[in-house]
Amino acid sequence: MISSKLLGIVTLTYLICMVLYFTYLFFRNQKFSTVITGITIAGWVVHTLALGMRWYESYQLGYGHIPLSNMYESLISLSWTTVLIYLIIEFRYKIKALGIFIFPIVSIAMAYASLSPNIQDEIAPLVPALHSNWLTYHVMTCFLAYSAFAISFGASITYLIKFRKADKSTPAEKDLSGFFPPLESLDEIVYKTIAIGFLLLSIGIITGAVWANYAWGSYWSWDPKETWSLITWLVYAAFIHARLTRGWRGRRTAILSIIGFAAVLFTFLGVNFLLSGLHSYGSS
Amino acid sequence: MPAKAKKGIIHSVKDLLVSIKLTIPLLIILSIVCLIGTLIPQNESPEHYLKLYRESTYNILATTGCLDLFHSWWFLLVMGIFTVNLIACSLNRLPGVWRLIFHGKTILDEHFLQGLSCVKKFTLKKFSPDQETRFAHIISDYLKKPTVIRQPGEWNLFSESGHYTRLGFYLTHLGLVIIIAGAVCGILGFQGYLQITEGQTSDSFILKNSNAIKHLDFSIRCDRFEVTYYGDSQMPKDYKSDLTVIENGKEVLQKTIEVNDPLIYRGIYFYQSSYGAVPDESGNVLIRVTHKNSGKQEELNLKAGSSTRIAGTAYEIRLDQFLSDFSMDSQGKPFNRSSKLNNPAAHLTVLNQGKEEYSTWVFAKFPDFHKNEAQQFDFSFVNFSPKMYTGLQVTRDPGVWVVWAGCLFLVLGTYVAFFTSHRRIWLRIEEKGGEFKAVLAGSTNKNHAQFNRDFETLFKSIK
Repeated sequence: MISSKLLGIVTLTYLICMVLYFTYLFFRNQKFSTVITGITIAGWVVHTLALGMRWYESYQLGYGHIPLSNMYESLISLSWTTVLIYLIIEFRYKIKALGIFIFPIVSIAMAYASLSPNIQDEIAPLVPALHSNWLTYHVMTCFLAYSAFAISFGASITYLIKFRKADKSTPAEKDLSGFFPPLESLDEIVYKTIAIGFLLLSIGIITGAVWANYAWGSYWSWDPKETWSLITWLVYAAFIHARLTRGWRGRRTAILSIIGFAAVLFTFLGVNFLLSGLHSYGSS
Repeated sequence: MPAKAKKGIIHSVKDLLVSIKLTIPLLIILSIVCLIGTLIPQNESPEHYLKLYRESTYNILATTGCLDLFHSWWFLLVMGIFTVNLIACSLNRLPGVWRLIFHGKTILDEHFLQGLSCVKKFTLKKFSPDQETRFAHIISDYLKKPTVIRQPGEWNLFSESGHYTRLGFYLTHLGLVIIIAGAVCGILGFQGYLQITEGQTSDSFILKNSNAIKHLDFSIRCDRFEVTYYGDSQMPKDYKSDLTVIENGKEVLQKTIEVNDPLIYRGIYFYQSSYGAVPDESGNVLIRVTHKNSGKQEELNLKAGSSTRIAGTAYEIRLDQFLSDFSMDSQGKPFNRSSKLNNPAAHLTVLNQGKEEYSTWVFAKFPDFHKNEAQQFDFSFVNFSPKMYTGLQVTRDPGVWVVWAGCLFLVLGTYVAFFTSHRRIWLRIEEKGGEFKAVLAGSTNKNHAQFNRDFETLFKSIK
């Protein structure tokens, strides 16, 4: 199938991007920077085409559903939203440093999706419970939120690395940390992406509740996935209140943001692989 | 004295409850409680738990409510404290926010200036009413038409936009409180289960929590149940039930429900939740009859309990019984092992001029089994449509629209709180010894980087 071939190309492109972003750490020049961004955008465009193809191919097979129905499709769609949000942040803040965190994550997700024997990559028909437009609204908003949180995670890690190096660094390291944006910008990116992610996660949880009310007869059943999305929401709510009402900044909020992302990862992967519940579609 | 000390404790507890210092610990406690609720399986059977835990552990978990944690008194207590804290902290901040919105500083003073990050001081050679109009114009292009306060030897221009956005987080918090209120309203509702066989009508169902039977003011008839598949595969595509609502003997509503599309009548939701074949009862069985002498074949569609004549003969066949999962007990007596269609079988009796002649079983999966050599007919099982039942979840939740309203507030409030800002611009011009000292100042509560850039542009166009 064409979509699988295209996704192979995309995975390779993101791996190349990962290497390029790391190389850029040491060879910073404007032309090189433009080339990296160009390749990233090209990769993302092919990624978009591949997802569109997979959607189209599912219609040809007589199923007809958006590629969000199982673990394989989730991973490739989530990678797509992550690169999208990453590109927006790169343009908005003129910052390349986060690429060295985002592309390893995205490449691993893409490669794992295609290569893991535990993951079915064929287009399978939808189970009746997933037959709904809410699938698109609910999963897309959640994935966009997860992606925004992934960027804030990258920015938090960058912040902590730079923070530790700030006072006791050799000239060479100083030069290296010059690659990283100033601490205040990183702090702002952490906050901004969490603000975006928090709003999207709220919408994602609510669209999930509306759908659950239609499909399962109850808007909230304390299913592990639901509960973990609430935990994630609460952790980021704590982050927001710590920053806005208690004046936390920098290191402490960066740590809270990392805890928040751990909750995101568990909500997305841990619940599927370790706990059972109503949301069992994503486990294969 | 002890009375006073006690009062002191109550006061400090009360102070803590309404303090913003409690908020972050509370959010973290709530997260940890939820986490525990996902690590311990909830609402399982005692047998299930005893496989997982030792009996002593199980008893501790059961008495502390950890097995139904999200409905335990202490979880509700934490939620209650959370709600009180949320409301109290929001109200505490209200006077300050109110002042900022409705009684904000319109005239700059030195003390206030020190707290602002965007301040530009410059000197004008002259200042005329024309220039005042020009400044007002530039500022209104940037924000809104400024108010001009003229004092002897001093002019103050003040413009602001988005002051109401400072209320955004109130909308978010109000939304949360409404959602919690909606969840509490849910207590007035119910959840239950209803099973109706095709063609039958029911006006009562079994409540989930108490297993008691609850009557409805109307009845529901299931006309048909159907499973659709993807192409020729065994992958189910959808489960559908044709339902009819009957009230006071009249059919008032008909709807085909499917997964993700329930029937709603009088605030009660009927969801497609399960299905099955009714044991011992068939819908129709299609039997092929072969005349042994002539080899002539014909297919007869039999209904349970009724008999059909074989054309051109005095013989009739009656369908006595249908089993979806035929099996024999130790005495060799047939019985139905399950309601699944594992081994569908039909019991047929041949009648000659109304008198029973002989009986035989025919099997869907073993068409050649039990052929009676001595008789003049061979029967084989061609097809059957078993009588199905549909399983419906019955739910009424009067709080659900309250919850949706709360969700709407929460999303709108969060958007306003994060992505809109209260921006203010002041311009003060003082006449001092023939010169005009001007101060341009600006403030925003969000998106400082963008505001700083805009402020620089504004300064350039004014200067």
